[in-house]
Amino acid sequence: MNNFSNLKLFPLLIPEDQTLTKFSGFIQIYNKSFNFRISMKNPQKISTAKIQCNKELENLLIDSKEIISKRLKESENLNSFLLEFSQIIQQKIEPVLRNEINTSFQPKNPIYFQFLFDEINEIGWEKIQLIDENLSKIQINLKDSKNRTIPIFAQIPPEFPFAKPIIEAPFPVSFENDEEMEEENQQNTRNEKITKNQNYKGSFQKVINKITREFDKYQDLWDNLDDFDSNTCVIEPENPTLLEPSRKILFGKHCSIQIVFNIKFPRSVPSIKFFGSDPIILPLKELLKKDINKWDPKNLVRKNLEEILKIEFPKKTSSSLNDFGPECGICFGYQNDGKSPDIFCSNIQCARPFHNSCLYLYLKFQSSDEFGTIYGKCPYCSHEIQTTKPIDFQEKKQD
Amino acid sequence: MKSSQRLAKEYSKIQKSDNEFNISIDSNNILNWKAILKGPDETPFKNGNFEISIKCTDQYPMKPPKVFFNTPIFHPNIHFKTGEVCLDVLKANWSPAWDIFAICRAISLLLSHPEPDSPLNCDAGNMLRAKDEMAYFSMGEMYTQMFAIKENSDKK
Ligand SMILES: [Zn+2]
Ligand SMILES: [Zn+2]
Repeated sequence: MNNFSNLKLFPLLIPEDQTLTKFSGFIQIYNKSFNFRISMKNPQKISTAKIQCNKELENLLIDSKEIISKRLKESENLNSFLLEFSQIIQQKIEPVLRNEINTSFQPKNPIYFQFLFDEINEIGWEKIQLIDENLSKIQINLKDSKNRTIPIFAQIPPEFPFAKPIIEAPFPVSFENDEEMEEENQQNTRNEKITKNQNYKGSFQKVINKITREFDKYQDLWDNLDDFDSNTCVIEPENPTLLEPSRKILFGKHCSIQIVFNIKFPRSVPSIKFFGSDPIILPLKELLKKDINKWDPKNLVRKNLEEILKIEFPKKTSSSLNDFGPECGICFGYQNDGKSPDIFCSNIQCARPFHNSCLYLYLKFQSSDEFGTIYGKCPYCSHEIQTTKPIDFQEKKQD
Repeated sequence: MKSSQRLAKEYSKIQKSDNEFNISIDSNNILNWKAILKGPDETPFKNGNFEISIKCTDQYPMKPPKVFFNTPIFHPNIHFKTGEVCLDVLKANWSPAWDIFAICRAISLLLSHPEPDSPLNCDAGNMLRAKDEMAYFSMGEMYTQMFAIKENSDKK
């Protein structure tokens, strides 16, 4: 926690997660803000840090690389490094500033922040869940009549407020649909900045009101999503919200079902996909095919599934999930480069999930086959298992 | 970096357990681990605390870690000077299904079930093959007393 509180001098550098190993945002020097990201393997070891920055800063520091890596090695903590780092930038930027009085290459117009903050003030800061590192995407948490949280996202274009934000909500919505906005659209000229700005004000709140009015239509979908979130073990999305109309849930031995809801008719048969060891999931697929006519659209989707598949989905608290989780048996992770485990041991006693890439890497050590499919043995039960070379395998090898 | 991620997961799992082998990360490098094995009853190692180092490479878990005893021990499958351990799962029988905790448990089991036919310590191996338990126990207990029992530790 120390690192974080010490970053007060750099208020625009925001930790990306709780590990406090990655920070991104801006470093402000004079009147310039430079897009900047620093990631460390270990928060205590600043020497392991990697730095990413925007083109402008990169060009500015092109011949300072040596001194920066030296400072990285010498610095005791992130804060002291950042101070050193900003001093290096300062020295580099002073001559530039003297030469270019007229052209400033600030990443965003100051009016951008002014208007954005005005908008947020009107919405209320307590509703703002997240603002991304570029101050270009914000998450606003709204509530429906059942006090459920519905997150919506506003993507702010760099030209804001002279261009419209894009709103991501559980259903399509845009500023254009607003009557007033349409009017404004017609008189859209870049020269009329002042009038346009005045017209623009408050439009976030209007869109939010419009979205909130739509909430009633989605109650049935959200009841079903809520039912899954509180009565099953959801493994995907990682942090389920009412925004995603799909759930992947864990059941039995390392197996899972992915359900994608029909948004218009949430209680109708959703699209269903099984993940798991063949001897476990093939009979379930058969059952579903055979008894799909028993689907009762008056019931909750979970109820229907449990009745047709003759299983009771375990809740998240169930202890068996620790032993029969969805994680890959090799890297012990669930997501690996955005992929969930896609190969399952076909021995029903074992049923272990693996990432294709992990299994391939392991089996490659045991067999020399370089072409297409590799045959080998499950690391857990020695049952025969096979894998194919992942398409992006070469890339990964280098990293 | 996949190896560090997996080791970090193992570490957090061990932290949540009762950590019977006192497993810890050595010198702030997640690839290097330490553990303390308690000498099992009915072995020459009873009452001893044996420290082992577990060194992984960035190929872990595709390749096994290297395990060494830091505390000298008189055991047929452990080299007395280098501390090297001869255990099938750390060599040909390795699979990513094994983790640091399971390795500690396997080595702890090896202490009570020596394999005199694949010795790294020929003296110890020969004593067991000759069924000279007396000699094996008295040598083993002597070294345990010498290296693995601290003055202040509980004698029970
Ligand atoms: Zn994996
Ligand atoms: Zn298996």
